[in-house]
Amino acid sequence: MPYGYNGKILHINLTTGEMTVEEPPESFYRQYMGGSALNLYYLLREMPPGVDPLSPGNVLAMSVGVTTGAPVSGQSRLTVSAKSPLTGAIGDAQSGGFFPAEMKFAGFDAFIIKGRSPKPVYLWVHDGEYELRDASHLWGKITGEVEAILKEELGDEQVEIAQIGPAAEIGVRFAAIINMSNRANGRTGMGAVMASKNLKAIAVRGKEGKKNFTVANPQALSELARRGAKILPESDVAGLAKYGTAETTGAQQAMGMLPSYNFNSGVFDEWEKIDGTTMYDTILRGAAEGKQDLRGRDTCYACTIRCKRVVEIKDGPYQVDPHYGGPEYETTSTFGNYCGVSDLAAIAKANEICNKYGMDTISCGATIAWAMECFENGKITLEDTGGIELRFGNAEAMVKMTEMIARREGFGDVLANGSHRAAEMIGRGTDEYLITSHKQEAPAHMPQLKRSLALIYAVNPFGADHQSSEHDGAYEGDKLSYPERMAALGLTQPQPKLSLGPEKVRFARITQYLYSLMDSANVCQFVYGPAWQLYGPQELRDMIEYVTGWDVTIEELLTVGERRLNLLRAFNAREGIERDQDTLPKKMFDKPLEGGPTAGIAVDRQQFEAALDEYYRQNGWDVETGNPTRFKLEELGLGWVADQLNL
Amino acid sequence: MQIQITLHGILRDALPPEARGRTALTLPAGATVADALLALQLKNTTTAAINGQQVPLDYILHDGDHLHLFRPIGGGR
Repeated sequence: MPYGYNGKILHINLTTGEMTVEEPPESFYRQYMGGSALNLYYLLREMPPGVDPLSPGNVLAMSVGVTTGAPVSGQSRLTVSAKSPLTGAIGDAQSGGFFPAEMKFAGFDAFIIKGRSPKPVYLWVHDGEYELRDASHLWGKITGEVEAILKEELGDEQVEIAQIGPAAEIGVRFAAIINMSNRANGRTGMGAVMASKNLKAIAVRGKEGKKNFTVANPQALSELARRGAKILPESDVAGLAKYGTAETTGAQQAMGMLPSYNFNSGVFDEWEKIDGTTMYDTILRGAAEGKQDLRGRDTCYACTIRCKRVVEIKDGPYQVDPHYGGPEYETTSTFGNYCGVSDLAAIAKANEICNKYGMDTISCGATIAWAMECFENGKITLEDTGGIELRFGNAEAMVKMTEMIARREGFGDVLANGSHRAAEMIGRGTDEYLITSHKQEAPAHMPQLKRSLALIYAVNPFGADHQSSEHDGAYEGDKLSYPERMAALGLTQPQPKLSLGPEKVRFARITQYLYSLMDSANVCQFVYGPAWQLYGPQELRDMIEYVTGWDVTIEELLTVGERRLNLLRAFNAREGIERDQDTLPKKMFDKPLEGGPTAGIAVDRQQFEAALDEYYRQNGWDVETGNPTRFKLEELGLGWVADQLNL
Repeated sequence: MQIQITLHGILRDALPPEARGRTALTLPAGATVADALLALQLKNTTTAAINGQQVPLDYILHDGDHLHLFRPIGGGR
């Protein structure tokens, strides 16, 4: 086995049941590394353009990275890619947990899944062995039940399971793939694709693989891991560790950047009720005994941060089972401030429903918030909702609608298509209230107030995404918080707030390459990054060398990220998706924010369009279409992609 | 002069739990953000904001200001 990775990719044809193992050379791994770069290599080669995302012709690729499973924080990540049933473009989603490391130990770096099984099946992979098994008895069951049944059936509590829930089975377009019953490859509907293949679950176990896992420089890696644990308490991820991602709620509110009431405002007066510190004090498991640090925080394989939440509510109208984890900041926002809801128990309940049934909390909560604004404006009526007062602030209606979406009941059947398609189905001017880019609902960071993020939301190939670049605050002000980390990327000229000139575009583009690399090497963006993360770009480079033995440079890593971005854009170009779709929802241009310190601010359309031109130019793409050029693709070793695009 | 302080996220741990991150400081005229951080024993890498605007360490505070303090925030959180 090479250092860090298996060198084996499992190809699965569910139509025929045939499975084959491919062993690509080291050069392939160094060029693509894993994650969505590796996934796209196969999607582009094995899927023609124009395929229906829910047909057997779609290809579902699941990859870990070359460092997954190493004993250091932030390496246990899984990326799933396929054509998205939500957006019609490339779909891409990441998750953490213990599944990714166990998949590596089980003997494979990627699963490339084609066709459709004639009956429900699950894939069982253990210590290099693999088989498809009948899953008829699992179909229709929620994630926690499936997890218990499979662990019993396979006779091993340590088996890790990635699965779809009932929401995917009935075609919710933002259905997720869930592992550990509480970690989600959430975005772009990858669960719906898996369900369309009659693949209920993938179970992995690698007893021997874990024992035999080797890295190139164990001593240096161990030193890096120890250093991370040592600096954590004084680092800028200490709050993330203790209070979870929702720790940031108060700061977002203070800056007028907490997206509220379907992005009409940057402030939510009741923010403190749903803040991460409140969650810690009240509903985190163990809070009553002051033992939440011990019992209410979970982690991913070998990670020292322990940012994951475990919520337990035993009384009241919204009881929550800790097996399904707890809400992230994105989730407290979409079900909370997006919807004007300040009932933290209700938000935790909605999160539980999403994890039980297998749905993306961002698209689900944001779609409900969109419907609430439509209702407030009389575009959606009680007749549509079946008598539910779908108003901002109505926690009961929010939870009810989450359940109805999961089961496609009543108006939930419409919302299960995501807000963009629901607006097309309903009409009546409901598209005026959308907050989607590339048909995907925006996560909880505001383009109005972060202009480089406005650009990235628009150009990101799989729709609005907050984890595809560093945010503006890291490159603004007189004094950078992390000048050395930024300098390692060649970013030394911080820009004024709300600017989007060439240097800010360069910041967006370079950090997009870095984040793109992180979704290929498959590492956590809370652990490695250019600013507030536990480790900076230099330690990321070091870690990859210590694990693989490759003497990589930061420049080489950025090129891997750029390669992945070009592969994603090329996929969309094949589908006829071009510059005209690289935009923001019109309300973000036309409707100034209301209330708080950011009242009156909207995205400047002229500034935005000029930045788009600049972004395409800096990327070496065609400014008219926004598509990669042959020159750029060949420079990245992707001449075969240029051939596909007939460039 | 007196200024109101809200400590967000983990910075609230600098105060007793019952304060929930809120306090007031009495500072001499001409005091800066850096002086407030020193009084609270917080690192000067702390982010400071008044009325939604980030302010630098040498920003001169005014009576009645409400200073929000938090660690740097970024994408994905």
